[in-house]
Amino acid sequence: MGMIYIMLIVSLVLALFFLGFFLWSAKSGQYEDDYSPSVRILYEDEPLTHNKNQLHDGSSNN
Amino acid sequence: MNVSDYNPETAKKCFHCSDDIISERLIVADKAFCCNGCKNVYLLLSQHELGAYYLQEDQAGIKPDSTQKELFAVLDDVTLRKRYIDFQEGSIIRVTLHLPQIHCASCIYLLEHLSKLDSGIIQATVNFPKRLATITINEAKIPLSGLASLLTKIGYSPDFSTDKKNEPSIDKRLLFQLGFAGFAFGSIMLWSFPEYLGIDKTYTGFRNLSAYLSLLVSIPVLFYSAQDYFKSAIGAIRIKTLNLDIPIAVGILALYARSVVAILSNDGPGYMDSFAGFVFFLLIGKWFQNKTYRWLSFERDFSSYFPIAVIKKSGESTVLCPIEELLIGDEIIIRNEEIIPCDSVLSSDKATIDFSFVTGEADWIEKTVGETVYAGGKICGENAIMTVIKTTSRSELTQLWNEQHSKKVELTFQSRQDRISRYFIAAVLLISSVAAISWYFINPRLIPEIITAILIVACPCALALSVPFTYGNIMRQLGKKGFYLRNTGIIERIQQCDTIVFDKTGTLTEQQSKAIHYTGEEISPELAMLLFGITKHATHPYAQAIHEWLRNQFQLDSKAIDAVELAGKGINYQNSLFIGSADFLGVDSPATNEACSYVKWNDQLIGKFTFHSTFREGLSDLMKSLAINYQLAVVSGDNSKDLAQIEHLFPEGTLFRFNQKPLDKKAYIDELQQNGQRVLMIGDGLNDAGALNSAFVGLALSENLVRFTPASDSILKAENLKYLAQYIAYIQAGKRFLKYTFAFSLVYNLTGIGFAVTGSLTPFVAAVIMPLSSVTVVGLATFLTLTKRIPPVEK
Repeated sequence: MGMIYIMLIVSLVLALFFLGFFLWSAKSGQYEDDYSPSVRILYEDEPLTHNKNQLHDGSSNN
Repeated sequence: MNVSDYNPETAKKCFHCSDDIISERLIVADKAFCCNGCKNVYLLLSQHELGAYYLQEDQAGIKPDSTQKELFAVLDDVTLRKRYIDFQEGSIIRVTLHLPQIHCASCIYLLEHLSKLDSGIIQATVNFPKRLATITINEAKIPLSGLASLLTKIGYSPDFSTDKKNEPSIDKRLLFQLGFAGFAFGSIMLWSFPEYLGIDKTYTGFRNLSAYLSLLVSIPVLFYSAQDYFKSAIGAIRIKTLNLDIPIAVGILALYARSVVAILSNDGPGYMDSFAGFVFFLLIGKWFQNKTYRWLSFERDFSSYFPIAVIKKSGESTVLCPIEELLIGDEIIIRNEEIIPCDSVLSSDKATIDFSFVTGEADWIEKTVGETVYAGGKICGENAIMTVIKTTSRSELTQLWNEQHSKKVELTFQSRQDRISRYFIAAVLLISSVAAISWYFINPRLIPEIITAILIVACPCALALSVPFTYGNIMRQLGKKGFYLRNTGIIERIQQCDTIVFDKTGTLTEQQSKAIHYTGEEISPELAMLLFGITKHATHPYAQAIHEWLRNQFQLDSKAIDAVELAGKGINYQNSLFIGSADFLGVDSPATNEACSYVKWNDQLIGKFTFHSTFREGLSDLMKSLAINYQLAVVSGDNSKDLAQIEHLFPEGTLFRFNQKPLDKKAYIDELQQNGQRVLMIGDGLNDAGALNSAFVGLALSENLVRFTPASDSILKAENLKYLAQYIAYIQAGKRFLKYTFAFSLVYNLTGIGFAVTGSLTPFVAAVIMPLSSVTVVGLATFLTLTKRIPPVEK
């Protein structure tokens, strides 16, 4: 029976962890835009690195 | 788009914007385009290897705005541009721009690859639901105004009138509330499991611990997650009305109070699981409702059309002045294609103004010095100098707008729920008192138990969920077909309408510029050059249309040629080349309704241009089916000579009104409504804004959903107008769906009350019945609304 007390507390702590993660993710804006990331992941090239190169070597766009 | 069997000669739609190719087709690189703008965007994109844009999604392209906004110069003014800039470090600037035209995956692709178009753009990130693009640029390479022009050129004209990026995100709060409720619901359910299975009551230590933990986690649910329901209930009581939130709030409180009593008297966790579950499901319903229409912005008003700054004369020089800072008596210069921001008196000798924006009429108006020009007119041709006589906020357009905006009261919103909940409360109170009196004679000690049990089980959770889920689903289904409603209240309003009023221009007819058709001898390059030149500065819309047609057909771009234009007749070039009406040229015109312009060169009739203002397809069938249940009416800004043209489309008994100015349209709607009719007004432009706002339900038709539409209750994709009857039928069916779900939830409540009244409702039964009823109602609502098919049916 003593075990069940521990499990009770464990379940609470675990749930609090998830609540914390959820609140953090909501706060950091992860649910703000639920559409563009799903599109962005499918791009062939990587616009970010491309741009960095452009900035440094100053070469013209392709 | 299926590229393999694409044939540019026969393709019906523009490769870029997917509009129908009407007047002529431009073929470049084996692709067909409807206009020069689309072609240029395509060329720009393909030059920079951004052709994948078209592979992301069908109908990706946006027809670029032909009216170039000159006033992006304001963005290079250091003080004026401050409010648009997030961050600046040297020449690196980050701006967040609201681009209302963002509408699909391709838009994200294009905007996030902007750096390929110009090396000055460092990075761009899109926030799709808010339609914002955060763009970092190197100002040394591209000025901010250049960025704005580039965006405009590819079809994403930034909207500077709204403050989208600082809009508080109400969704976040709902998410937090949802998080706490879900956390509590899951935990309490888990801890209550031994209770469900019938734990031996002698394990008091465990039972007390789980009960007190439940109490602990339920506190934020009561005070944070459920607070909106209490606020709404208190608000309703204050203004002495009843709304559905009152029984919900009472139910929540009863559940909670009963559970707290049970816990404090060491009698298990009470109904905490039901309490948390109920709040959780309610919030899910709300979240679902919000999500269905969040991404569509209905609130764009006319001011998004207005320039943000204007050139003001200051002594000998000129300065850029924000519109709000204009004072009466200021002299302002309005250039070609710019919109007059406020009512003014003309100081230049003359100005040609296009009021189509305000009145919907295509004919341009000539004003001379000393005349008053009203806000909203667009200058065509030469620059005009004028003196401000009214500041913007007081101009007539704004008045027409504001007056309406504040007046609209939510008359019937939630009326049905209110009525039902009123009966509901009365019934519950009656049943409780009857039960109390009866039990007084049987066993008075049980009275408090039974009363709370009745209140808990009578809690109309299923009832509360059926409206958001049924109507939320209807909204979502209609949204998929290009028919967007502002909120679920609009569904109820549409159900109550009995009169439908149509605007004519742009609503019944296509909004696209007049389609031109040329018949006659082939136009030689020399003649084309001449025609192009003499029509360049012509003010008549037909001449302008011909000019555009020549530009596209012959790829011309030459200077204007001086010629004499006779207003309303035609153009005379050195008495050798004439273009204009049949009377003007002295040719016989066949007795048709078609509008034509003839071309005569060296006394030879070369040919004629015919202009069609085409009606949308399927109108006649639509009107037939609508006329069964509705009184139909047409209001038009044009004169009654068009009656013959549209009469045959409408069944008998349709009312026609012509020569209606925007205010007349609004007055007509008011008049109808004063006679007790409830009007669904269907219009398209700003000139209908007043009428749309006055009407019981205003429906704005939009050729391109992401373009400007006046603030209205609903927006319908223009090409789906022909299905309006089916959409209304679907909305009407919503009433029936709601009845089913109501009946269902009532059965639950009555069964529960039956048990409660007889004193045999155990915590276990209540705990099972309540969430189960919610889930069933949600499922039923979803099933009913999703199984009904509405056009256009996808293959």
